[in-house]
Amino acid sequence: MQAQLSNQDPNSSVGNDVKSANKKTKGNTFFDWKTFRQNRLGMLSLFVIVFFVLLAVFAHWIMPHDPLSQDILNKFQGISKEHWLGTDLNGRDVLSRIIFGTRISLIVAFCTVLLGATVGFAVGIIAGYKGGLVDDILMRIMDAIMTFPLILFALMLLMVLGNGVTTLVIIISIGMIPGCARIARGATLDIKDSEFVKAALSMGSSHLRIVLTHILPNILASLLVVLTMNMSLVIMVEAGLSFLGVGISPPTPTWGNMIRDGFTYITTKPSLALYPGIALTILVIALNLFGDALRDSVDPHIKRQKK
Amino acid sequence: MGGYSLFKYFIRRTLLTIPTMFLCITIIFFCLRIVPGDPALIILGNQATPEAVKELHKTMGLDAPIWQQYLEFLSDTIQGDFGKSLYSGKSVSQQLFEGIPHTFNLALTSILFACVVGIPLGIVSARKHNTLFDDGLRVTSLIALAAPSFLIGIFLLIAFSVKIPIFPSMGVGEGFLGKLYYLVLPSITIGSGIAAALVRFMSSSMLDEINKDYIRTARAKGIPEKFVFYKHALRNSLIPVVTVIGLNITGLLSGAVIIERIFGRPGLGALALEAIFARDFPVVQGCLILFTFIVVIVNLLVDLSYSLLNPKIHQS
Repeated sequence: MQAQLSNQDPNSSVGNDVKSANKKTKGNTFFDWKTFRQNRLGMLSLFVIVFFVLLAVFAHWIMPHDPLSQDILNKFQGISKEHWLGTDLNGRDVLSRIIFGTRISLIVAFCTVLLGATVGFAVGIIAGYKGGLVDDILMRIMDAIMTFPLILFALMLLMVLGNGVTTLVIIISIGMIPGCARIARGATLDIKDSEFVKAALSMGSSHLRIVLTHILPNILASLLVVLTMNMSLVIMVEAGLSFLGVGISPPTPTWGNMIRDGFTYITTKPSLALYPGIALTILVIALNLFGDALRDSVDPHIKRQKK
Repeated sequence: MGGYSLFKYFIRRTLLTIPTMFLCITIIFFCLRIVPGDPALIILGNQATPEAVKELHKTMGLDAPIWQQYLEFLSDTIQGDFGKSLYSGKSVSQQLFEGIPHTFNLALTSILFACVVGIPLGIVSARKHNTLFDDGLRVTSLIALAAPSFLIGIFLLIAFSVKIPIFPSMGVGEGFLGKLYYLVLPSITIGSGIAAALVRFMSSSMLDEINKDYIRTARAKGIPEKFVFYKHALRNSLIPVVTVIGLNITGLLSGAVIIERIFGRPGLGALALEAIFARDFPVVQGCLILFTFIVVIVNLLVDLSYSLLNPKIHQS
């Protein structure tokens, strides 16, 4: 019955595409706050994340002690009024180190994710938009990178390039690129063939303009979800690498190398490894749950639009 | 019709692994060499004399032009010759061979644990959909999925090896039962994440199936509800298991490195880690090649079994 797709037909699917697509790019239907609010786990995770971010930002004011100051006479102390979580193997205050570690973990994770997502999304959009041989080659390279277990890949590169925060950031961000590229490519492919893009092209819009004004805003939703999920992954990877000894080196406190130091004393004083571990677990779980909730409140909305 | 296109798909998919492997080992080769820094200097340290460096260059074949090195590397790799360890002098392939059983055992028991825990829970979750039990299960599995595996390992270690000394904290053990005993904590560590993924997959695939027409027909035919549910549950459990394994294999291998370190177990992960700290290039290279090979093969098997389980895939 809908065989005819004439433009004069007010019920034609062509018109609907344009209308609903325009609604999409207007941006006000991008994030469904109501749905998100109903997801209690998601809201809880958001609070936890905000809490950690505040800890990181105001670290210098909140920390009871200097995270680097050693006090060998007082090492391995238990919980006390002076040191809320005790002291570590060098007499440093555990609580302060955990708070400072929050800052480092978050900064490293944020920079890495920003870098990886930017490059990844660029690659994905180019691959999706151009299609053809460019798409094939880029995706093959992405597949090859994905075949490497991330930690091993990082270990290998860190071995040749040496430790260092910048190196760490660049290496881990490389590992993130394929995932982001895939998502961006998928989203680009979805939009590339829609009517409003064709309309824009026929009006003489340049490819760059189309990408910037049509494709990017619609990808923003998946970008946000990707950013959140990858932050938790990066925090885990960085902690893992520090635990193995190739990440950020002591005395700078990161959760990873605190766990590493604590691991040596795990039979005598397990709390040294336990406390940073708990902090890490809470943040990672919160980020993941938040990402899930975000995805739930973004996806069904886009699905509804596609009707 | 079905048989022949399946066969063609098998061949095509298997052949596809070759360019992927090729690309991967090329990346490995160039990462380990072209990256700034002379490998010989890195190995010998900054204090090395120029003669020592030159000597090492010769042994490692670094004095030849890069293209020549590459071709030699390719031909060696295809023949399975990964060279000799710079420190122990042992053949790299020998060391890899020795490490495989340990890591394989760990992977196997982890997956078994995940299946034994995850599949039934997934089925129950689908059966009791939208009840309090199901909601609680979903939250727990979300948390188990999100928790980093090496932290689960450390928590388990502290809880069941330090505080309540039931399980050993290091080593492999002797004999079948002994080895199993030493495998308990590490397997639970790796397995819980996979179990959580399985619960979600099983549950959602069962819920999808339950609404399909053939189920309604079976019910209309008078087949008892339990029978309808559980028979199809078993049949559908293969697809999620295969999917989850495929998705998690790289994570499993990465995790093996850390978990083998935490629990003091030998294996490929421990081998790779030691080699990296010792800057033992041939061993590192061999490990990486082997790991990517495993990932590629596992992905191949997953795709092939997919096409067997879901005929629509190879018919396109």
